[in-house]
Amino acid sequence: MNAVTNVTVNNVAVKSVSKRFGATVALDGVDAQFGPGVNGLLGPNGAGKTTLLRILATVLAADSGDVDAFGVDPSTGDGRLAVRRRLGYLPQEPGFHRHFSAFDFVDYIAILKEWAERRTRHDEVRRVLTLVGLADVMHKRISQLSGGMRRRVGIAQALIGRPDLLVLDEPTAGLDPEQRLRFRELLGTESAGATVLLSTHQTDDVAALCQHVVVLLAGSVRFSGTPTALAALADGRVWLADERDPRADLAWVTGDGLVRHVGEPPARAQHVTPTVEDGYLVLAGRAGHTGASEPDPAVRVS
Amino acid sequence: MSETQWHVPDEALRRFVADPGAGDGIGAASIEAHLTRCAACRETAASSVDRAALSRSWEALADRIDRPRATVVERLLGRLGFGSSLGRLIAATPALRWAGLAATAVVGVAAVMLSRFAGADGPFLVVAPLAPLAAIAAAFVPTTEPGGEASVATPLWGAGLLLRRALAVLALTIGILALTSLALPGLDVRALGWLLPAVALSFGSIALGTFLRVEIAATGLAFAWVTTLTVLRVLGGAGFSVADSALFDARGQFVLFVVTAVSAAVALTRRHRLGTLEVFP
Repeated sequence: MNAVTNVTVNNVAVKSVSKRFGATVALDGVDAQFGPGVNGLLGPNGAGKTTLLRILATVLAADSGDVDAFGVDPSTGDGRLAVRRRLGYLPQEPGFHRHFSAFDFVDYIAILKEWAERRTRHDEVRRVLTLVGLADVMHKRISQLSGGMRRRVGIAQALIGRPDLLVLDEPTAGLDPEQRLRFRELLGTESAGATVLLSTHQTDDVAALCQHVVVLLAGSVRFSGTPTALAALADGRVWLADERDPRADLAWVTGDGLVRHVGEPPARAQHVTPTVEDGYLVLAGRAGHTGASEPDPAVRVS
Repeated sequence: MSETQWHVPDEALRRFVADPGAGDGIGAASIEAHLTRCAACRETAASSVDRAALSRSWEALADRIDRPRATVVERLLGRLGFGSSLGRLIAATPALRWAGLAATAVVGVAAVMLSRFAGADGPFLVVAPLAPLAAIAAAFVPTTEPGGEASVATPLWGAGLLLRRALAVLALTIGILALTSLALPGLDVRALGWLLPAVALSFGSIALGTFLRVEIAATGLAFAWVTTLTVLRVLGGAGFSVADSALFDARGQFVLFVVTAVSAAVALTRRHRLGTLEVFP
């Protein structure tokens, strides 16, 4: 597998990457570039987000295509090692050992990250656990922690050593609203200068955090651009009305009693400014409604 | 807590802060007791503390408190010259924890009791090689990795760590089984016949584990082992003895040695397959 050439601005790039599990095609010729800052991956369950992140985190190898991270090809032994030395990875399901305390777990991962000197390592473990707000419970067994706390333990281990590449698979899943806000703040301070790739189902996380967003649908990239550009896909396609319009692709009653619609608007519709979620729904709805074997060409907006 | 009117003289307080154990014990204990009740003296004491020394002291204390307790295997590996970090990574594998070691001991004891009941080594020779095989499989299955998938994306993950773990598992399980085998009836050199099958099956599972999921490889090899012995039993007729069968004579042991060597070569050649989750996604 050859490294993608001409990667200058983008720290991480994939070109024509495919991955199959038996008869299931998880990724089908994915092209994407990710530069410094926070890059979001949006898509429904089964779209291939986790597979793409696992490939970028060197946990899986692509069946075909090229992967480049900081000018290195992670499909080779040396390349994989070089990438792992600059990587922090939060898997979708971390799979904690039930005997470990939060401290033990993060310490264990720190050893695997070549932090051999104990005192320095323990200082770093305390630092990252304090960053995610777990200083008071760091010696509790992970099995005794809540789901949100376990997620934060996972985030803490990914932050060890301030990695240049942070790959976070649904980091905000299971976090309450306050914790999600704290995570956003934390990412802003801890990932300065780094390339962050995060997958999420929370479009407001994308709007708040990401400079760049990629939408994956059925294993293919369907959008690549800024969150503003993604929201703009729904320009003129979002409106409010007193009654539900059956011709809309999607409609729901908002808190103030009006019905918010996404789809082809009727004449004299009361248009509203679209959000990232609206843009995503338009994109996903368009793909869902075509239902054809030939997908729409990917939308690329820089 | 009530405040007091009396305060510790500055000089005495300074000496106490500099070295609480230097003076007489009663005086130090009095000052210590007074400090718990007197905010003014605590403030004076705090102002004369060496901040850098205090910080170092706290860090040392925190390090002592936070240091994970070393397991028996970790301590054993430390005595064998492994660094504490590597020892911790090796000892973390489930097969080297108490439950895993106890399971091996239970299998060994059960096999010895069966052999004593039968009055021959046969049951032990059949069962003993399967225990290290199971332990190796447990050490390689990703779902038992203490750090989960996050471990795989780290620099030290890969064949080097997994093969070191396999050797440690093999050494300890074989050691435990060797101890239990001392209780076999009519102990003689033939009772060592299980050693090479144990090593061959273990290495075979690692080699096959570079092609397919290691638990499937181990299950297949265990099935092959039991099937082979069953076939030999059927072919051997009424006077069949496991210890005297073709697997445990010189030729059989040589074949098992060759299987071990080939498996080790395959595992080393294909070790890159152990660096990701490709064989066990």
